[in-house]
Amino acid sequence: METKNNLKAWFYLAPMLILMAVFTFYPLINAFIISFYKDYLPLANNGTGSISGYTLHNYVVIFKNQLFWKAILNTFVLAFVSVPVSIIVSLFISVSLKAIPKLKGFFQTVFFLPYVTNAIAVGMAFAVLFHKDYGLFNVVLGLFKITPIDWIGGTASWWAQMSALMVFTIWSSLAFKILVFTSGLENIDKQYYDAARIDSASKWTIFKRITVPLLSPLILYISITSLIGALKAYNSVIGLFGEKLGGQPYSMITIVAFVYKYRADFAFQGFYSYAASAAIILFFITLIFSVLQTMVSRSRVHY
Amino acid sequence: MSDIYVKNEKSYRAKKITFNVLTYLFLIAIAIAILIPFYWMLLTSMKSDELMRRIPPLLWLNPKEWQLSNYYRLFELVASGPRRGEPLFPFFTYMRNTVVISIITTAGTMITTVLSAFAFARLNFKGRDILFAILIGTMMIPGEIFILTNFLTINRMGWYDIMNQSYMDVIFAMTLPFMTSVFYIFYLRQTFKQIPNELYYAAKVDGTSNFQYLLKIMIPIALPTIITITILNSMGAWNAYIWPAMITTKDEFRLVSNGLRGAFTDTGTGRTDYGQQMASATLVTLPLLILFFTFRKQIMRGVSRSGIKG
Amino acid sequence: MKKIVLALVTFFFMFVIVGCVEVVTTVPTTTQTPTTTQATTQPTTTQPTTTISGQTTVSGQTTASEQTTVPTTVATTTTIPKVIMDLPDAEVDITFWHIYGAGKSAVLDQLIVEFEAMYPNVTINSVAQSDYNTLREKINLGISVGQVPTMALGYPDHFAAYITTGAVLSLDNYINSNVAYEVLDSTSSIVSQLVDVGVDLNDFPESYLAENNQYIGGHYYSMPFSKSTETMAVNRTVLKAHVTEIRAMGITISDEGFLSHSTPLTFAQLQQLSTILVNETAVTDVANFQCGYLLNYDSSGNMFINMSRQWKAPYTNSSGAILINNDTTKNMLNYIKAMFNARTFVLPVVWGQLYGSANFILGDVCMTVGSTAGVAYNIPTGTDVLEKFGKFEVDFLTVPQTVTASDTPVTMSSGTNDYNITGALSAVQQGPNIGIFSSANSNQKLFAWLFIKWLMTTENTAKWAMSTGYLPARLSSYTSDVQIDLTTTFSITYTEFMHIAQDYWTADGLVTWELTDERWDYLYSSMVANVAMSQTSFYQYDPAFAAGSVSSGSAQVRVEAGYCLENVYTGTYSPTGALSFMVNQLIWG
Repeated sequence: METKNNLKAWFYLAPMLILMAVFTFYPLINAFIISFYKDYLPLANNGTGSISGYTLHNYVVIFKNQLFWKAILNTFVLAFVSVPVSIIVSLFISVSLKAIPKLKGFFQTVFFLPYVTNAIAVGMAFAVLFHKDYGLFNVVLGLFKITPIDWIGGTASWWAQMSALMVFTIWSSLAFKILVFTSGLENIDKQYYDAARIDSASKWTIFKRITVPLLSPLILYISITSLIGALKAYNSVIGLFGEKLGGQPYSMITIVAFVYKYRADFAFQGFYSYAASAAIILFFITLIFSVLQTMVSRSRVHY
Repeated sequence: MSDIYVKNEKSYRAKKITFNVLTYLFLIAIAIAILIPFYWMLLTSMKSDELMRRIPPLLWLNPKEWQLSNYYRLFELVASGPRRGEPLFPFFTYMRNTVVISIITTAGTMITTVLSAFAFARLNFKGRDILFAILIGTMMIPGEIFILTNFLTINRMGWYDIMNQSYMDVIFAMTLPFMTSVFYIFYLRQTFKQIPNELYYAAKVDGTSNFQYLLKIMIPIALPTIITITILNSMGAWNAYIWPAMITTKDEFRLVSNGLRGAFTDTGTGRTDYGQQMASATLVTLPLLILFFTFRKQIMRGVSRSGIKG
Repeated sequence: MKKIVLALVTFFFMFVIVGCVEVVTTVPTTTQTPTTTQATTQPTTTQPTTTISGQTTVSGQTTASEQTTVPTTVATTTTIPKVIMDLPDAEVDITFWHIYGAGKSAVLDQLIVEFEAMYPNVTINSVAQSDYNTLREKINLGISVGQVPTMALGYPDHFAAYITTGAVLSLDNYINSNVAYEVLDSTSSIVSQLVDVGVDLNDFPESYLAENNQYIGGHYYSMPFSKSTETMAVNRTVLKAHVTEIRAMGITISDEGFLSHSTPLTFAQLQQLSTILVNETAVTDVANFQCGYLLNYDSSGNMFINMSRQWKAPYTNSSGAILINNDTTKNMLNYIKAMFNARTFVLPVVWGQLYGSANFILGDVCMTVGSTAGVAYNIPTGTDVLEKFGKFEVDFLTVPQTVTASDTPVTMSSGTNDYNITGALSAVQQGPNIGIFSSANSNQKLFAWLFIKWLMTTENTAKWAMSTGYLPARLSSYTSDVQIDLTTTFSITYTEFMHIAQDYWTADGLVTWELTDERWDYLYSSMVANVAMSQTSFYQYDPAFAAGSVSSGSAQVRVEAGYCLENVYTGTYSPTGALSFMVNQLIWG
């Protein structure tokens, strides 16, 4: 039975594995090797490229760049705050959606909008919202007689910029989460809820003891993929701040933005190696946290 | 005795109504927050050039001030020259390409996703967890790193040819690299894993093969998730920008996003005509909204319980 | 300036005399070429006799090293009599990659149609890429797999990168060629003209040429096409309100508020104007015609680079050396910081914008330096009360300079410190050029070159400039008299176009044109074209180089230069600190 399963399983996996081998694994391994090249010139020798040896120096260069550490800080703060917050918010929204008797369809469509709205439009809208002179946030602050804050401009503090970026990131990530949780909630057998009501459990207890555990496979999925996605944050920074990556140049740079900085000069001596090194570093960071997450969740996820 | 029941019922009702009202308020607040950028997109698309440049930007336009010129201009025809009579922005060509690529990619992705998710969720084989972990690992690399190598691969297959690229070449080049998605495999695996083991053992006792089980039982049960994945995946082609830009050699092969992204930026000044860009973005978003609206019920529906009796 | 004019005049006369001699002495030879499918298109200038040698020995690949005997002194080749040859008649397919959007593509397409009528065996596929980054990456990757277009548009730093791989064709042979072809008329199929392969380089602004042959070996690897520069827009209404005070400071100004269009304003004069025109607070005082800020610079990158040249502070060089860490640059940054503090200079970041034009129209700032392609954005159109000065008058001037003549010593005074420097005149020169790739076959290269020539004819470059807002690449365009159709009812020659602004300025703005006169529509672009022409003599190009193993390429240097000034403005770093940060980002490894 075991061996039969082994063979059969690989058949099921074959189409995916073949495609991934060519278009994902191969480039990845390539990138890994490239990160160790010395003086890499990708366009020499008619495209075969030329190197003068192997080295660890590319990684040293990355670590010595003061922007790299800023990128790490920004990315970590963004990821480790926005992911839990957005999960909690979307859970509440999904549960609320389930609880209301009418207008479900309307809300579901509205909450899905961020997924289909053009990213440039979203960035523009938020840039206006956070503008220090005429943005909505500062207008509201003014109503409460608080001095307006520069959120994303040239004099914005790191806290203000990070808060704005956080709001933007959470906003963009809600749609998918709500979608997954809403359909997941429909899966939960009504019997559990009926039983709980008979026991006159409070709404909070129901949530904590029934809803969350039964949703746990999906919560795990969302938390791992969201964390990975958040560690790769790039489009949100560009959308809110433009190519400058911050109110002051590079103030909100993330790890991926740092990697891409080398792309412009990539074809020439060594730059692609630097980009590859930075990407590999990101990979290891993400890997560590994903493994941690999986280990932690092992006991808590119920299928 | 009846007094107590009456009292409980009244306070129960009151609580329920307060709860509902609060919930609605919460949802409405979130809905407004969600709608703001969408509203901004629509508003900008209807501003005339002059109103666009106002500081502070206008937050509201009277219906009298609505200008649909941005939309009209999108359907303008070329006035003179070799392309006379052709549309200035070949929307329909781009849309057609996007739909074709979307259908093919989604079909391929669905096949690989369903098969793989089944293998990971239900089959016990050596190396299952390690392989799964490796696959999750591939999600951790930013996408642009893949572009260089994939471009060289596509070129080696002969699908990138500046002089002679055919439509079939473009289809292969644009769909094959994206026919797998660890993101959705993971999602479907979680859903499959929630289908009780008893069902599987019962089917096995009846002599059903794995494949029949997958086809006849698992897929129907997990259909909402599968539909969700199908729809979300097909929307991906709408936003794909970098890869299509790299491997298409002719304008008629372009997809909607890369066909239109640079189209409204003036190369001399570097400034973008946001009014036009928002108009085109709105037009492009419409089909997606319609798609979502049509399949909304299926997406939101839960797992059908009909397979489990007793 | 005088030296240049003298040289030009000398060349011109030599050319005329030699031309006359040539016409008298040459016997035109007709069909003596061997098989036209051979590499007949690359005559070397080392064969001055009238015999047309079998050109089979010259391979299609003309890299710089093969032509070691070609002198780069162009003018002397005019002593070689013209050789008339038959055009190859094989079918030729050319791909041309550019980034022009719909509007400009239409103009280009029309030029292509006319070219294809002249050369019926040639088809040009013009493909617009979405943006410069995509264009550059596709070509970079394409080079490595042998898939490059025949010709492409590109910035100098793009070409600098391509050239290091040997992918770009050196155009020297074509430029210096003595071959001519009999060609069909552009509208019919009658052979009616003789097209020279060679080009008279004297008709181009010197700095355009310098930009295109700054590369390895000093060969031309591209030709200028869509050029632009920066000019300064000023609020003439505000100036007019202060004419007496301005005159009292010794600055030339007319009664209607026109500052001099022949002598550039200096920074010292700007500082003087600042005392009159800038309000005590950063808020515009409409009643007293005082703005919150004096001068906005749209591009902080250009500001850094151009001012470095005006201060003669080392910036970079063509070998890729990054020389910004020097005392003159530090002084310059300190000066700029003082000007920022005094609100004499400002960057759009203060208003949270990318460009200063919207706030210029609003009246927050009295003057703004921006690209010539963006003229229209600086003209107030509405009569909205939100614009503080209403629909004020706009004039265009040369960008401010440190001195009025190059190589003059001057003291730049920031109020607290005095910096003694030797100033130089400088204006930026921007815009992409066109080059041909060496992997094309010889027929493709020939016709690609002829297409470039066609795009660069005096008439066509004038047409291109008028329709797109770019500047003509040739000096003769400014005085050309070819009618260009701007609308279905209105056509104009470039000379007349240039006169629109000149007439306006001579009349001190008090012209009697009808409201429906088309000249009003083209007044501002005409002003800008005139200012651009006056800046031509001191254009300087920004050295282009690819990234090395320990330092960045020129494009990245420009970006960081802009960020440096922004950091200075917002006070994120002190001037010295901002410079160190810039160096840290650019030199590493």
